[in-house]
Amino acid sequence: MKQIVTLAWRNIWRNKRRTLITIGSVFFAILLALVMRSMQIGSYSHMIDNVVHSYTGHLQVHAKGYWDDKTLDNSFAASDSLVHTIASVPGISLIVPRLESFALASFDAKTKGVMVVGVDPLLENKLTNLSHHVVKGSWLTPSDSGAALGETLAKYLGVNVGDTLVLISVGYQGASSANVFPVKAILKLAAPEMDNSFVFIPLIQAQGFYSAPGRLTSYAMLIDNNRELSEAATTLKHQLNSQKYEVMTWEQLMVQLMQQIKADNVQGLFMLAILYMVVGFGIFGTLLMMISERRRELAVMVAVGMKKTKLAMIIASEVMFITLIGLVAGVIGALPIILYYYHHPIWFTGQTAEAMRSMGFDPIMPFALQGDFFVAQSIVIFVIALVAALYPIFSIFRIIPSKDLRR
Amino acid sequence: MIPSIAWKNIWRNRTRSLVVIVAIALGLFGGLFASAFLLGMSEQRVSEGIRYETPELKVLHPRFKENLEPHYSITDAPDKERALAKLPLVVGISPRVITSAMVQTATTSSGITLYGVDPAKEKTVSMLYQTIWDSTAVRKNRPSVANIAQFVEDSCGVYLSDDQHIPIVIGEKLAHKLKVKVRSKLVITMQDYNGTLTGGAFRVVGIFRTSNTQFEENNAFVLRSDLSSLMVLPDSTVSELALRLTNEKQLNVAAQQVRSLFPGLKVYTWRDSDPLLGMIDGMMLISLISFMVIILLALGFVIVNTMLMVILERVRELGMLMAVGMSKGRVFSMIMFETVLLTLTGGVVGIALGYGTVLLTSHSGIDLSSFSQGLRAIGYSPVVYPHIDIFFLLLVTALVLTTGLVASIFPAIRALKLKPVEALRQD
Repeated sequence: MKQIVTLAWRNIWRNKRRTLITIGSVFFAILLALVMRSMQIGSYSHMIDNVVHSYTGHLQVHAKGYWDDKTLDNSFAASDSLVHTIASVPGISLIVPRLESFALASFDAKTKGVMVVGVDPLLENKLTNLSHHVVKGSWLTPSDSGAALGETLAKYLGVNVGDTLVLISVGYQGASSANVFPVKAILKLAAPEMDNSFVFIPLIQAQGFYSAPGRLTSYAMLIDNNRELSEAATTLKHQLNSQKYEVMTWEQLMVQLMQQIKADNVQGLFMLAILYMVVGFGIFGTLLMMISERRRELAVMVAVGMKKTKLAMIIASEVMFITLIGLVAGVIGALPIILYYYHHPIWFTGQTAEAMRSMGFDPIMPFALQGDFFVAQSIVIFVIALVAALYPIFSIFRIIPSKDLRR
Repeated sequence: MIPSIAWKNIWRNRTRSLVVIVAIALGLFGGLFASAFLLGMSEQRVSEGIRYETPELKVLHPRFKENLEPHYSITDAPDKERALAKLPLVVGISPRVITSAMVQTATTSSGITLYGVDPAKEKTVSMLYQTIWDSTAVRKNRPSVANIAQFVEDSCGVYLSDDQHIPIVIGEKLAHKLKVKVRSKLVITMQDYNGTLTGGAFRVVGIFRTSNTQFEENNAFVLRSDLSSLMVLPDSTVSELALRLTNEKQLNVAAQQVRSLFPGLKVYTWRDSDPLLGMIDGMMLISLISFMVIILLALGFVIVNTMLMVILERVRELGMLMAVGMSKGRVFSMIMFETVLLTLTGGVVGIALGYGTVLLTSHSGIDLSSFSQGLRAIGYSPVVYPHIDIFFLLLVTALVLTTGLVASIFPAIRALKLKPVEALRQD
């Protein structure tokens, strides 16, 4: 066996130029596949990150039935033990409590239906980074009794920082609620829908306003990595009483977006498949030529008594070496390109950029940089190379020394 | 002379050349077909968007869109309609009153955008009325022919007409959400012209169904006369004038004409009013072109690699040719021709195959409904009609040619570098 490997290694360097060309075909295959995939995965995870951090989080826990019927009567009592149970699920890195419901917001003669969200100002900021979206005033503190609202909404109502906003709504179990809140901050929220209708007040204030002391409508959670999403969701479901709580992932909360991303992904895979086909033929072509060029040489080996199986094994090892070298070189070659675009994402301009902003996305296309698709793409190209090598390897068994020697 | 030698050279090693040709052909075939498929899908989305959701052009008060406030309305609508009717590019005009409203049933409520329309005029602009007959309920239950009319009326109703009493047409998704059917009653609350809360009861007469569930969920249509009287708007005041054009290609020309007609108002094309549709339209082509470029880049490498191998293999022969007096220029152009001809052969086969398949499937369409339930949620129809325009085809052809030319330079230069004496000595 060792002999075969040594022979193969020496063989590939006997004709350096030919080997380099063959390595080149593998090199470009993996390079293009990596760059393409990195671009695709990058734009999906960018979208996911945007959604998750804009409001929903990766996971949410509600009282059972809340999602279908979003009323305060479907709220649940907050408790330390509940937070503890959730925190014990591996991967969950942040738990943000919220109490949200609709209300009418008035200022002067203007009234508008708004979403009043009671938040823990510190925890909420870790999830949505709202303090960075403040355009006027300053972000809420836990002891505040003020409100922060979207810019479009503020403009419509004509309120400014320091003005007093009147909120009217129906609270928990039908209690009527009305209160005044000084405007503390005006926020520029990415999604126009939110910018036009969201009012944040500290959680304690919201619980008082809605007559729902100690109650929440949801816990929003972040996990370390979106790839652990379904796992974390399942674990969480096991931990919680399914009669009382529902656990939902962002994929269930934002069905439309999830489907958009899935459709994009299928499209991407389809394109990738076409790319594989092309590079597969490229590798096949060079391997085929490598063998046909060496027909005479191989025929000599067979004529002097080399077993064809052994010869096939040598050729197979040669292909293996060439593929591995090509793969390593390709990965190394792709890294600077991917690294560059990872740090300097492509910015969209014009109509496209505007459309992306209107959906609440930054108009950029970052590349992804993570181990798993590097490994996956390398494996795919490796397999393609091995499949492409089958024909040349089997053609060894068709060598007839008397004929091939004479060529 | 040189081209014919090059052509013959290609066929001296048939397997090798065929591998390259097949690679190019398959790559182009796959690339073209995938492009046509995606292009067809996005074009359908856009055309359905224009048919049912967003009119090609609309005229609004410049500040109306901010919050749909009735203060920013269009006054003297009939005069403006008459002026618009004189434009030859405009075929349909529908005056609409638009407001955000809250729709309530006994159990749930939902925020919607409510449109007050004149049915006869609305039908000249939006084809939404056609979708009321196209309900799945009809297809699923396959009622016998005898009672089909009654069945359709029961399950999806009819479009608005002036003789109905306080009718409303809503989308299937909203109907599910509110758990209402045809003939159910809905209570709708909104602000009137003075900002006072007002409302009224409407009876569902029809349920429309489009490829876009979001649109279905967020929009409802009532008679303009009903909505105007609730909102205390004079009959001549409307929120928007929605227009349909004779030809969508004249969009910008028509927009310009309408703009000069009403300098104080704002004219939106469908691209402005639905940026997502505009994005699909604009981005799809760009992403497909970049995809084709990647494919051709890969093909280019395949071609270069193959030709380098070819030269390596033929060192002796090329040396001999040079030794017997073939000029370097001729050797160079021979290798170039070989590469370009190889590329073109594959290119022609691939483009022909790809275009042929597109033509074959473009009428019957490809039905994805069995394995893609989610398409409708993002506004796509489940039957895709691949389509490719000549511009894209020409572009791909040009790209193939460029690839062949660029890919030929490097091997040809390598061939030039051979020194006859050394080349001859190699075995």
